[in-house]
Amino acid sequence: MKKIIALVMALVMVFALCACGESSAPAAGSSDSSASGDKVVKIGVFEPTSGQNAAGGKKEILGIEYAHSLYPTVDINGETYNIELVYADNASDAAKAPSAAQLLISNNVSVVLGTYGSGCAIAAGDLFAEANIPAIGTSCTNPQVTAGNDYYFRVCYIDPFQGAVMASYALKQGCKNCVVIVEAGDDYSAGFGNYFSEAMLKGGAACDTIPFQTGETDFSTIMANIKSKGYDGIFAPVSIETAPLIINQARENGVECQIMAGDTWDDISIAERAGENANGVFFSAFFDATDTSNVAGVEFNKGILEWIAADATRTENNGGTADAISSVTPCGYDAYMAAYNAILAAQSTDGAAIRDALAGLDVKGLVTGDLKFDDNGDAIKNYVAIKTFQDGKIVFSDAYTG
Amino acid sequence: MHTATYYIDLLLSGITVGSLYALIAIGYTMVYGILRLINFAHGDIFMMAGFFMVYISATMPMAVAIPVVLLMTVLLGVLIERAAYKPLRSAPRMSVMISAIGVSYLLENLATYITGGLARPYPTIPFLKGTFMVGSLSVKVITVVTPVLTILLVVALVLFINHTKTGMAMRAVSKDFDTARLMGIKVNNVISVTFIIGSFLAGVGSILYFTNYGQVSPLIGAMPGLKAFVAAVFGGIGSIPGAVLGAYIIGVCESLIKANDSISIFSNAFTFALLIMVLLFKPNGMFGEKLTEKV
Amino acid sequence: MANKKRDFILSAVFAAIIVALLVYVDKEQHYSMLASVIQKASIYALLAVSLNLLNGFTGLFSLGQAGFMMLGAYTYAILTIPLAQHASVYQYFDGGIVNVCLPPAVAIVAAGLVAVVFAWLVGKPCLKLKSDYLAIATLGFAEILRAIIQWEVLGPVTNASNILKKFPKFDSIMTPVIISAFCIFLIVLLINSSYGRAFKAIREDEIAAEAMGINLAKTKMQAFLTSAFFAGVGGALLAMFQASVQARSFTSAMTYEILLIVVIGGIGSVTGSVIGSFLYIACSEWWLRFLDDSQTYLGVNIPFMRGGFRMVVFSVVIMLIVLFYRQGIMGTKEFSWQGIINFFKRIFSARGRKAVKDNG
Repeated sequence: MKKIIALVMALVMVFALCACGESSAPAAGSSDSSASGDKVVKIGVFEPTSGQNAAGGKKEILGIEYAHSLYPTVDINGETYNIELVYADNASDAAKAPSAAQLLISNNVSVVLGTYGSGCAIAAGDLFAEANIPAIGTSCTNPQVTAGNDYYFRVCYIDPFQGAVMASYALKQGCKNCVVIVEAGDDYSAGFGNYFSEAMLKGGAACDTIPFQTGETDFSTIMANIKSKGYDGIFAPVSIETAPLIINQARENGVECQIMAGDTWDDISIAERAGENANGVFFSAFFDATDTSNVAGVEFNKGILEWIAADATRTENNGGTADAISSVTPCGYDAYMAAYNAILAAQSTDGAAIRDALAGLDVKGLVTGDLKFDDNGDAIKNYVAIKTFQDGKIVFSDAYTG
Repeated sequence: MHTATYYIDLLLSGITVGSLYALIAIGYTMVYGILRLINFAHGDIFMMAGFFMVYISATMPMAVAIPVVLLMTVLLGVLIERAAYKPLRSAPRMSVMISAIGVSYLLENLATYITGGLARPYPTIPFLKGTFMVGSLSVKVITVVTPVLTILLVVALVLFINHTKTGMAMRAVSKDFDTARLMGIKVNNVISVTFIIGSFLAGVGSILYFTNYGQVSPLIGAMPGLKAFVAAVFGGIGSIPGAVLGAYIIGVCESLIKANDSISIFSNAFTFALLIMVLLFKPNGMFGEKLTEKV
Repeated sequence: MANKKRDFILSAVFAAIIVALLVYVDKEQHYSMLASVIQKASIYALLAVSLNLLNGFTGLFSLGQAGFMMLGAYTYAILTIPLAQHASVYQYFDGGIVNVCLPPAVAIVAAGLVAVVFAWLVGKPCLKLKSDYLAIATLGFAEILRAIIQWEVLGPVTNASNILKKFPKFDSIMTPVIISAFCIFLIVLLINSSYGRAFKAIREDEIAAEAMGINLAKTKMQAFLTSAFFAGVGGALLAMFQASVQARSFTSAMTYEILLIVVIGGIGSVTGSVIGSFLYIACSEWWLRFLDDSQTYLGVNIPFMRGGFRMVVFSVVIMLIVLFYRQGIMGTKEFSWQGIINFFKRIFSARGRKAVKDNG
């Protein structure tokens, strides 16, 4: 018996080794040529497809893949290069992000796109910089992602800005005594919550913070606390998974105050799980599909919905629907377009050259607006859509431009 | 500063959580009592029961789905015992424990693989949903059902163990494994019964727990599992009323800690601190029997 | 005598090949998966050996490894972040209150020592406990430590929920290999000393060991502190490898991962743990990653290969090892050239016998 098992295991190992030889062969070769002789430029997709941010990661990948389907090749010095997407799952975990980053680096990617969730971007940022590979953040909003890193850019706005916008909106709604619920140990949650409360305090309102531990499911005590202290607003920059727990438990425990959140909540699954409890909850978003003044956005929305509906896996990755997209999907698209334009501008597949091209990039009319990076590598953005849940749907409520 | 309603809210929340820990803790305490094994996979059986419900309720009406889910949970528990623990009965204890960790790892990874790592909404069970008002207090139906059902099940279980032949055999095996075998008790059957009861209660617990929170995710079982284990140790391993009482104490304490912003982050840590305290000062728990190490 | 000479030559050749490979990878393939696996696996080898010292050699079942690693990683990170970077790393805590920046070598030792201090605090009450209670108590301590590090009040030191980064990393893939090898060498010396024999005596039979005059409490504590020291050092190395540290990743799952490496390698074998960690890390980070991507072989799309499948395969393999191959790769044996030669001899003679049988 033991011998048979040993034999089976040995076979598995051998099989694995063969497969490794096969899959790593292109990695060892030059990045410029594939087996068929066509020129190839590789773009790394550094996104979570497992762990608590998997839903968001998959939606950003949809945006990236859609852009790739529209612009599959790029001309460099008169030669046509095929763009190849190389995927690495960072598992929503800052500890696993470095090895996912290593995987991309060892695959000789020219530029990296991602990620959803600031923690992983921060954890891997220095590795990309060291390997001279520029990275374009999709929806990682924490300032630490690009701070002190010449190789990290991002196409979305950042938390100090988003926090200030949400605070001013909360003040406008009449919130005077707010509570921030943050996930301890999460860079996005803790950072964003911090900027929001700073802005609230500056605006003359009171603001407390309650942390909870990763994996927490019971918020009823926190809600009893909120009810007793009489807060008039809850700000909860937490993951998609935790969002319905907070909304449902607030309402079930008789907390009737305004609930607000950030960009992560632009996800239809929250509306489905929280049902009518979610009505009136508002949150910031990168993009609004109903905004007809955004020509590129309208066209993009129409195109990607058809593209998603055409394939069952895509529909599943979009949260089981082909009726609407989350605003992180356009971020994925814009990140790809930034990389595409930078490669065109650099006329090179070299990471350092693309980095320089990104620094000087100025693209008009992308889906989330014009794209130009400041000295930190952050996109200069002044548009925040504010959306709300209404009977299981996400509807546009207001826009902030400043 | 706080009103009475606030403290009632906290207490209710603590009791609900405590009841759910209690249902899981019984599985731990019974298995430990008989096999001297910390069944690390027990929390994951609880999680799997949640996913069974998600997938089964999609294909059949709820009245059929509930028994089917409980049956599948029981089968899973027995299967794990047969496949992963039985072959190691004469192996060192560390090997069995590693096997339990391995099963837990397998179930978590399997659930992650099948669901793609995403939380799934838990189906609504009509008669458990909703709230009613007592004075100015809004109370969820499940908050009332959970402790009542828990107590009923525990009473039934205690009666079963004290007054049936199988119950007697279980007590005998947990007193002395080898002697019980010599006395003609079919030890393997007794162990299977233990796993059936433990998994059944975990299944019931999972229905109540996930109805309360509305969603299941692949890694959700680990923490309630560990806390239930602490409850079992607190009450004295092997003692069912002890485990239940331990679970309620942990539930309520946790609720009080979480209510305090400045220390709420220590709610999980508290449970483990309690465990260490108990092990140091009263190693056999509140109601545990004194065990002597045999040479 | 001849064997000794042969073994020496074989070892020298083997060592030379390894060094040449390392130099080549470091120079030519610094960013390859191979380089990444070598670094991570050598760190995990140290962590696995340090856990094995407890679980395998002393028979103490501890699940606190991740906690000690976290202490080591945080100590290293806090002590080595350049002063100029404090303002940006501790941005929510006004630059923090730790105003020192030590050389990495000193910080690595400090990382081990901090782990030792906490291990002493943990061990004092817990080492008295029986095997499985000790396991759950150490697991609990790791959870408590994690909550303390994330505590807002300690933010100026630990940066609370936020990531620590910008500290010095490895400048060559040789660094982690050399440090780990040196530490493992120290552990091997310890195991072969009279201390090590006392550890093994406790593993075999506590009561008999005590009767032989071994001070149980003291010896267990020695093993526990040594293991924690190297776990701390390993944590510091892991921090250097990852270039960032965050408390939330040091969960019990990390301890289980290392425990499973020990099991794969063989509980009670140092070389087993080393081989186990290289095999495990190479498979999980590199060789078996293809299991997570949908594959098409011979025009047929294999439907079950998608995200997460790799981990399922892993857990099944681990269960098979636990159930049917409890010895792991090495059992309690250590690597020896004679063992390798015997292994091949056995295989060939088995084949020879089979051939004879088939012919007859």
